[in-house]
Amino acid sequence: MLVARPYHMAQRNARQHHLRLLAACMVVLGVAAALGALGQSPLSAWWTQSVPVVRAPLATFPPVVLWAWERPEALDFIDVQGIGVAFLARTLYLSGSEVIVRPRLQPFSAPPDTKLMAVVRMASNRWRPPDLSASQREMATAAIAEVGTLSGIQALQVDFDATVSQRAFYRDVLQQLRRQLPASMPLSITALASWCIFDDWLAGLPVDEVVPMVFRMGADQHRVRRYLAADDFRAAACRHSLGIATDEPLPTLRPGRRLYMFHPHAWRLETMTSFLEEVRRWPQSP
Amino acid sequence: MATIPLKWMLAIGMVAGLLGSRPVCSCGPFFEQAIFTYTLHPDVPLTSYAQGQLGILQPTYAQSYLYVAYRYLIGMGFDQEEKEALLALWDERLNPQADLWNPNASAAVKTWSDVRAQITAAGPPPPINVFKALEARNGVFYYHEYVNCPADAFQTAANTLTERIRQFGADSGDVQEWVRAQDQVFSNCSGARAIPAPAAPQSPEILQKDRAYQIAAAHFYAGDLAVAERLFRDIADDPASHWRPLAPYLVARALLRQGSLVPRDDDVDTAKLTAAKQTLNAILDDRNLQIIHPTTRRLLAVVRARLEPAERVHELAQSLLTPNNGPTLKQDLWDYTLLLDRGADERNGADADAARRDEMTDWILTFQDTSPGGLEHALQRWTATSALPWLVASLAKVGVGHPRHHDLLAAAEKVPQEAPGYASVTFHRLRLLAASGRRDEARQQSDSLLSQGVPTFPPSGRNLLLALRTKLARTLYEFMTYAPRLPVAITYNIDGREIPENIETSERLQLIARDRPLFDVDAARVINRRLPLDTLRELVHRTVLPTHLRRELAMAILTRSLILKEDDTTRDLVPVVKTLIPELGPSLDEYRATINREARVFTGIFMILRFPGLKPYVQENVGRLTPFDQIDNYRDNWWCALEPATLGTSREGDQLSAPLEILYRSAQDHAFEFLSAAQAHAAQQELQRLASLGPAPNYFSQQVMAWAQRASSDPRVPEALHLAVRATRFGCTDTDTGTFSKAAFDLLHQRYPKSPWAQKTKYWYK
Repeated sequence: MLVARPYHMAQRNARQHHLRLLAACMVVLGVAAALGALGQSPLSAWWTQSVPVVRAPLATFPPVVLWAWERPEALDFIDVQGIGVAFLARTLYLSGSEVIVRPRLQPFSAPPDTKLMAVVRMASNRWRPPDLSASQREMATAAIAEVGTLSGIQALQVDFDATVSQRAFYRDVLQQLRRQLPASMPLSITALASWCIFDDWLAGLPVDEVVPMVFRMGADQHRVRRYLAADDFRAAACRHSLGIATDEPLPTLRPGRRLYMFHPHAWRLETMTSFLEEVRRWPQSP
Repeated sequence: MATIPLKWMLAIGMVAGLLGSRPVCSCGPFFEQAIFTYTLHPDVPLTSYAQGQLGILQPTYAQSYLYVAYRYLIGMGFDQEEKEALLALWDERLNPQADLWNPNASAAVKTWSDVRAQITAAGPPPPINVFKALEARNGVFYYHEYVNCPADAFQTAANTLTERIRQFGADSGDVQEWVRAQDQVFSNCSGARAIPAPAAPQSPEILQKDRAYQIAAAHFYAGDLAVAERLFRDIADDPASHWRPLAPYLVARALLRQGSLVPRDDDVDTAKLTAAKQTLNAILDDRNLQIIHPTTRRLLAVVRARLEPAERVHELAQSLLTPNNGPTLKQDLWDYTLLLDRGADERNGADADAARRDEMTDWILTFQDTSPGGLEHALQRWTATSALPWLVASLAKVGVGHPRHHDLLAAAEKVPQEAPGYASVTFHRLRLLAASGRRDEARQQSDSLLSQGVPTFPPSGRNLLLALRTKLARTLYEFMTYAPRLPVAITYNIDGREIPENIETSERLQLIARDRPLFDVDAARVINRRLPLDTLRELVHRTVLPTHLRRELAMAILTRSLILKEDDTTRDLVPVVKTLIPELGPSLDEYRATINREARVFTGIFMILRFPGLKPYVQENVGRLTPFDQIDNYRDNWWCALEPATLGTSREGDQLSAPLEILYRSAQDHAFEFLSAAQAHAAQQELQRLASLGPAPNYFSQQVMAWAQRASSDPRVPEALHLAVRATRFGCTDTDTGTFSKAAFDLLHQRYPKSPWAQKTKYWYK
């Protein structure tokens, strides 16, 4: 859901009403600023981070990133100057009160000097829904943070399709994770496209990048594609990167965004090359 | 300490391979969907397929099902034990909870922990993590994890400790020391490095031999594989060690790891693998080591899969074609399909030829090959052999444009009903008959098969026959007779494996799965895009469709006629729509009673505003499950901007399923006998008019505001404006919707500020 615009009808004593309103706003803003200084209010997050955040640590990451998922991937053919890799390092299943950790079991290799982002995917057990307790949060955060200690990686990404009821939990995980990670370690997250269009719950998350995934969208695919043909993501945080897939139609592309590319099979030089060419030829929105 | 150590590694690798082979489930939300014909596997339960009821084989089936088909097609079949092995394999592969397997919490680890708990003086057990990472080396970044300590290591440790407790007592200092050493062994599982010290010289000999084994195992799990190999060899040469019989096997394991636990396939050390193979063969030649021969054979299979994959594929193919092979069939089939999958990514010209060296593998790969080369190869093999499998493969690929299709048709006509491939052969024969103009023959034979309920056509196959028969309809009535199909499954299909849901788990699922036929994409396309309103109107009056589909049709046609302002059509529809959709009765009565035409139009729009489930097209598959008078939380309300080419797009997209695609390969395949040029033209005109209306919220706002200007005193106007603004929030939008939303909002508040509807309308939506 997007920002609602309250409408105030002209009142009989409009001037007096406007002055009262102005005073009220000043009080509210003053309180918010004070609370923000204390870091006590979620409003402070909105107040200070209502603009898209792209921290410097990710600025040098290549403009194209291949997602290397749970299959044998040997990416020695990539040009490390222009292509980075986000490889699935671990999957966490939130199940009842547990966190089941499934490591990457398929080999992954990349040439020297590749910019590498380790990805941790979280998923809920449909048959034993997670209890989202504090201890589960601790375990999940620790399991993600551990991946952040892998030598050779330059960034960490979390991939979690949180339901509405899981958002508070996810927000807490990200906040705790951010505190545990070194300040120099960029933190990226994937996002459902619908979060970026019909919602604004991403505002204030302590992340350096949000990657809306415009593929495998299930029920939302047509609405999202139609929307993007006409307009940009409403959530500002979603306007710097984009996730696309080789086996789905390309959405409207806007210049200057980092593209994350998913392929349902192991990457090959030919596949990557032809897809990059397709992306280059795809009409871009101004 | 392991006796069948690679069983877990193989299992993990296979499960991981399955994970890797499925598309990433990264998005959603996912909704219930009806499957009319399975694409990845035959109809469930798979017992019928294992019994030989093959149905219409699909090239998209996983290879294990095509293997079964091949055996039946060559007249071989399976005995009972083999069938059970097949079902066990499929059960593991289709287990929806396979991803949740947690080896760290396995029964073997628990067994070890429970036994260890008896030695309280050894302190609390350290946590166990069986996975170890293989990380970067030589500048290249490399990463993955593997099961370093498999289940049998823990089982063996538990068994040994149980025996030592029996021999020396739980309070024995030696046993406590044994446990501490074993803790050190297992700490190496996940990357720590801890090597136990040798046992004290005064400790009992059996414990000293145990310690030697523990030290070798610790080096093994720590990754000091050359050292582990040497130490195990020492044990193998020690006549006093009770671990001696197992030691040669562990030497082979150390060699296998040295050869294969490497970052890339290029780094595989074939010399080590060859040495492992030789060691294992030597064990098999030693009758004194018979006790470990079964384990050794299994490990040898693993080594050879790495060392000689092409040869191993063909050995497995031969084994899989050996009758009465129940004890080994499951493992052989698992290994076979894993090697084929692995080879698929690596296969190039030379390897492709090697893969096809045996007939069965050649057939499986060809059947799955949808390229023109696949058809030509199938035809070559059929010409050379006249074998049924190749006839099936050729028929499944050929079209009427191919010069050999007449030969294939003639051969297909000779396949008797009791033949195992009858369903596949017959379906494609009828398809070719229809496409080559022999439509009456195709119709008659399809009708005969459908009316007999021939058991060789399981539900998926029956739906394909219905799809074919739908294409052959001569009249609209015939079309509607064959268009509805019973789904074979209702699923969320989150992981793409087409596993049916348990309908008892959800009220929504029960809403759908009441044995009610639904429209598939092919039927919905015709209804939505090819039939003009006049023809659609006629359909609603007919009772050929089941009531729920007639109701769906009535909603669509009523909505379409209302928004196209086809007043006569709407008035004609009112009586029958009232009986099908009584909820609309009062509104329809009002519509009919309104004298002024423009007021009638507004009445219609006002009604649609109050029923968000109304759309000017039928939805295929399960459609919209939210009651049609309620807002759907995922914004499936009214309609989006309609495009003639894709009108009627469902949630999951306007795409034919893979099995249906073969019926619509050419432009000619989209022609229907009962559609005249005039009807097609009229339908196109209407679609263009629908497309010009834009998304529903914009349309509503325009229409309501126009009426408000004309009849501002109409008491319905404030509510209509409120509903129009609501529609801009919950309906499909475009870049203009915000403008309409604000305009309707402003009009409501400016002209009707005291209306309760203005109070309820606090916002407009951009």
